[in-house]
Amino acid sequence: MRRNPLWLLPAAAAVAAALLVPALVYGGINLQYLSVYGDYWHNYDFRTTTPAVAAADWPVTMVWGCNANVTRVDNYLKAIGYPDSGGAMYAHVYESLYGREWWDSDGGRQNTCYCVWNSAQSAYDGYKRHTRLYGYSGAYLYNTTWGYYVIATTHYDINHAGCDRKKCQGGSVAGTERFGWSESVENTIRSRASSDYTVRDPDYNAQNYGYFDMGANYHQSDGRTAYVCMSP
Amino acid sequence: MKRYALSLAILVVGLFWVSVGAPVWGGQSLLERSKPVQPSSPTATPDSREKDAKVMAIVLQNKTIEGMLAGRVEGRDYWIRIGYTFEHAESVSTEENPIAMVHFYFDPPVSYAGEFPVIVSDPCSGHYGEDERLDPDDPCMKEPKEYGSALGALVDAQGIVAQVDLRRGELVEVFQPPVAVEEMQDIRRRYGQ
Repeated sequence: MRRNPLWLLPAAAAVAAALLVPALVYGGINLQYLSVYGDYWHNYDFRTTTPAVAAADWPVTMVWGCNANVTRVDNYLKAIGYPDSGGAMYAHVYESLYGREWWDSDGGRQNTCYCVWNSAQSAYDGYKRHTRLYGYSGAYLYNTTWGYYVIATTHYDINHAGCDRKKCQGGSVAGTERFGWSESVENTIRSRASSDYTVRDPDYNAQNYGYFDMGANYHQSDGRTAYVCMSP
Repeated sequence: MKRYALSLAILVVGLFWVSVGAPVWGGQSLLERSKPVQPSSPTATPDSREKDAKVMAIVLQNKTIEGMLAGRVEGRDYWIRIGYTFEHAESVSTEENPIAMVHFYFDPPVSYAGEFPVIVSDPCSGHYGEDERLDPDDPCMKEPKEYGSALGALVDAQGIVAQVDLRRGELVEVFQPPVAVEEMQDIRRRYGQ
């Protein structure tokens, strides 16, 4: 007996609406599950394996392509002054090669703590740049436009534990902890990478545009990723 | 008939999720409007002119800020963006946004010396975890910060942020952020005259 599939329409509409609405709320975070040349990924990484705006951590600001993989980018970052690892976060991806989705986890790479003179406060602040790298199963993603590629989030840790005002200038004051400025970190990394690889910026529209404060965090993104082609 | 009933039930659950479940899950209080993704004015809330004026009156009372802007024209030599936020990320849906962040962007850059407001000590310093968040139960959030001032000297600063605590009615801190070129250009394009 042939069944009329129309009965599914209201249910499908409800499910679709439920998936769309979280993108419209919570501050200025525009969380999207992007369709990217056949693959899918969320345009933020997450503090838990929950694809919700309340769990969003930092915007995806970089794509490393042309035969990139997490290990290769990781090694490159170590070589250019990012020897430290950080706390792990999660990215939600769908790899079209395998037809599977995946929650990838990565602690990323941080540069060695350095001190920046905060002239408005006549004191040094401790700075670290931090980037996290994600692929399918900790390795890579693949599409025909970017080849084997890796997505990355970026942010500053300012006066964070172990790299604070006390470390920079002694004394007992740690300085105010702040986090974010993803675009600034993206700029620094892609500028350094441009001496070794071909770089395009701005490139892909990751739809995570916005400049706004959220507590101790500053969301700074022009909405477009920087692309680093690691070819050959 | 059973299928239509099932479909209707799913629709009702879906509508409840859309109107109540998802916003709450997303951290939004149902008692407040959702905030705009891309504000159409320099402020985060387009209808907050009165609030903005109050914030700027507080900021401009500071002699150093006033001196820094002397002779400069807004929209030509500097740009301002005001954002309203909460004290800690964990309190987003439990209180009004009591903190105003006034972002100044300078072109040409500013060099100026004076007495700047500073946060002398923050009980939550050193308490943030690897995820850049505080434990929601951390008692540091209820302890008072210590405020003061320090002599500072800006040299070719492209931007500063002035933090106003609206509960205290005071400018409590000025700091230099790592301003990105894109941010500066974007603000000028949107809010330039």
